[in-house]
Amino acid sequence: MTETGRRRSLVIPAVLGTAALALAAILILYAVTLWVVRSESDAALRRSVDTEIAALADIHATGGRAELLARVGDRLALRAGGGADRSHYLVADASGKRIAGDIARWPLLSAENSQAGFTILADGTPVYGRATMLAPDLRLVAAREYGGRTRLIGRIGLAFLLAGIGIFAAALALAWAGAARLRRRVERVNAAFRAIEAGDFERALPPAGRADEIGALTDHAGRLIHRLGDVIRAQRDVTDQVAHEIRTPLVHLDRQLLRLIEKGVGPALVAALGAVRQEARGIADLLDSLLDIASSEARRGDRAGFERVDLSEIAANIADLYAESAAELGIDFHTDIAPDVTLAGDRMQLSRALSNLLDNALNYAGKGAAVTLIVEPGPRIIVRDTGPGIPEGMRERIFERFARGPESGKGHGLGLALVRAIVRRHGLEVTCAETHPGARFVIAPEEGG
Amino acid sequence: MGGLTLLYVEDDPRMAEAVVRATAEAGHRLDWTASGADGLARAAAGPFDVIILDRMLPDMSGMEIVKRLREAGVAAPVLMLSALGRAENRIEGLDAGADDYMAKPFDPPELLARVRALHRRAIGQAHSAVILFGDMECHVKARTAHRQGRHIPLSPKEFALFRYLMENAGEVVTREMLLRHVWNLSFDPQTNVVDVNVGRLRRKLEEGFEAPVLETVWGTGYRLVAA
Repeated sequence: MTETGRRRSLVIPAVLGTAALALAAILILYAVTLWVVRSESDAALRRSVDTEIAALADIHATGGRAELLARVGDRLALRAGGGADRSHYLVADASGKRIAGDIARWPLLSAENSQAGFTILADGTPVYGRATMLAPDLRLVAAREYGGRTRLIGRIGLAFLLAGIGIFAAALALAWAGAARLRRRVERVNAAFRAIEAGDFERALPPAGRADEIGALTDHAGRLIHRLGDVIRAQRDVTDQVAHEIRTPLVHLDRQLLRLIEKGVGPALVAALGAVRQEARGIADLLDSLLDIASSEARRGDRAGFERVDLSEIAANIADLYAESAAELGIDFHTDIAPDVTLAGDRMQLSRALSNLLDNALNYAGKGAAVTLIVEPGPRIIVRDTGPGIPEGMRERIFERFARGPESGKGHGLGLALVRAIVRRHGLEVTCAETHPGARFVIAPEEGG
Repeated sequence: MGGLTLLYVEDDPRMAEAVVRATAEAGHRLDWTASGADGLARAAAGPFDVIILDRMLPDMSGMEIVKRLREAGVAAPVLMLSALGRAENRIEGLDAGADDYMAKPFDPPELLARVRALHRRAIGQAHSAVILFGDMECHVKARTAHRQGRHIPLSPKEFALFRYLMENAGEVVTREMLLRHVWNLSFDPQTNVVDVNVGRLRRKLEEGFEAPVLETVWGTGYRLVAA
């Protein structure tokens, strides 16, 4: 159904929301982890460099300069075996000129302030180092590479990326499945209601199966639909029985009258009997009209059995049927029918509504009056006459059952009631207004409908 | 078209009597039964040109019979008769598988016309391109009417009316039949719109000629007669 197509499914916001939440959670967790790892490894790096500086300062204090140089040499030799984060040393004089160590140039660290920090050595190696002044002409730098820390952070990032993709996909899938299940369950209720709109009460709503809120909704809807179906069936049965029981004796009466006519009783009697038959049939028609009004009113908004009909063609057909009668009644009858005005409806019912409306106008407008039938896109149907018009107090009442115009003797007074019942079933409304002179009936879509 | 073989299922003997008489007068052979079950059995057994079914039978509804017949592969056209004559009831009957639906009370000529029409449709026989009756001619393709060789100008709806009368020439056609076939309407407008339209056609067919050709059958409808 197009209605479903236009409506946004509840699945999409649910899935998008869950996915966004999962993504945000992963990002926050990653940021916190990164921060902890970074600060912890920085602290460890700092500690190891500070311990080294303290140890070398100790050696210098106890063993003097020669001992320091020897130990620095030992450390560099031992380090040669490799290892992830190598240490680097520089023993320099007051001008920064190298005495021992593997660092070529004094780095951007102040020995006077015993400065520590991240820096880059002359050969481009990034390190964390500390400088210190052991004697007025003796300076020391101990530094350590931190490639391991960078790799660790990279690995953590990669782990988070992979885990994040996994979690995101899982959340997306779970949310999709959950929301889709929810939608399927709600959709069953919707489908049952749509079936009712199409007149199908027989398709019972199956039980929900689960005792949650949607289950309760489904059960409520199911019971309501079931009851509605019962009421409608009962109403139809009673209607059919009443119609059958009243019409059957009329059928017999008609048959007997017809036999009399066929026996060939003189022309005057034949005409009289013909008129009696018409009367008898009028009772059947009255009954049908009443039942049609009741049925149309009960099915207001029920679009079962509707199809796209050409209102212009219907109006032209009815106008054609009435044109000759109008001429005979001395009424100036015109039509102004826009082509291709269509609507979803019941062709026969709409024909009947138009026929009743024209019938009404021709009967009440009077000789010499003009009657105009207008069909406009919208759809809008207007029947305008230049007759005596309808008193203001009557303009609503004429659409009620058995209402009659002030000076009328003919008809059952059901014609306009049926018009209203039919147009309302089509989501339209009929109103009556004064035009000076005459009356103007307008059929147009219901407001807000 | 010779006499047809018809099956009629109707529990109301008075109703049945009228239909039996009307069909016999028209030269058809009619099998009547009051029981739905019996009707179903007979319909399944013998070939019938048209089956006429009452909708409400004591033992089985006409709707049920149509459904079962269609399931059993019986393709004979079915005309359903019913005291339920509202548009909704008609739609129900047609949906059940009936080919036509007629409300009671009806006029026998209408029943006969519908039976003929159903049979014609079933055997795929269409009217010829030119229908001749008395001194009148109806040229279906050219959509023209002639009497005594003289062209009679008609509006499209007048021609449709003339053509339908010509197709049923010599038979009574009712107002209901005209409304149904010419204006495609299945309800009866309260006023005498049909009579007025027929009156206009009559003037065109009879003005300037000696003999009347379109007669009113009181209380029933109209009949085209040979001048």
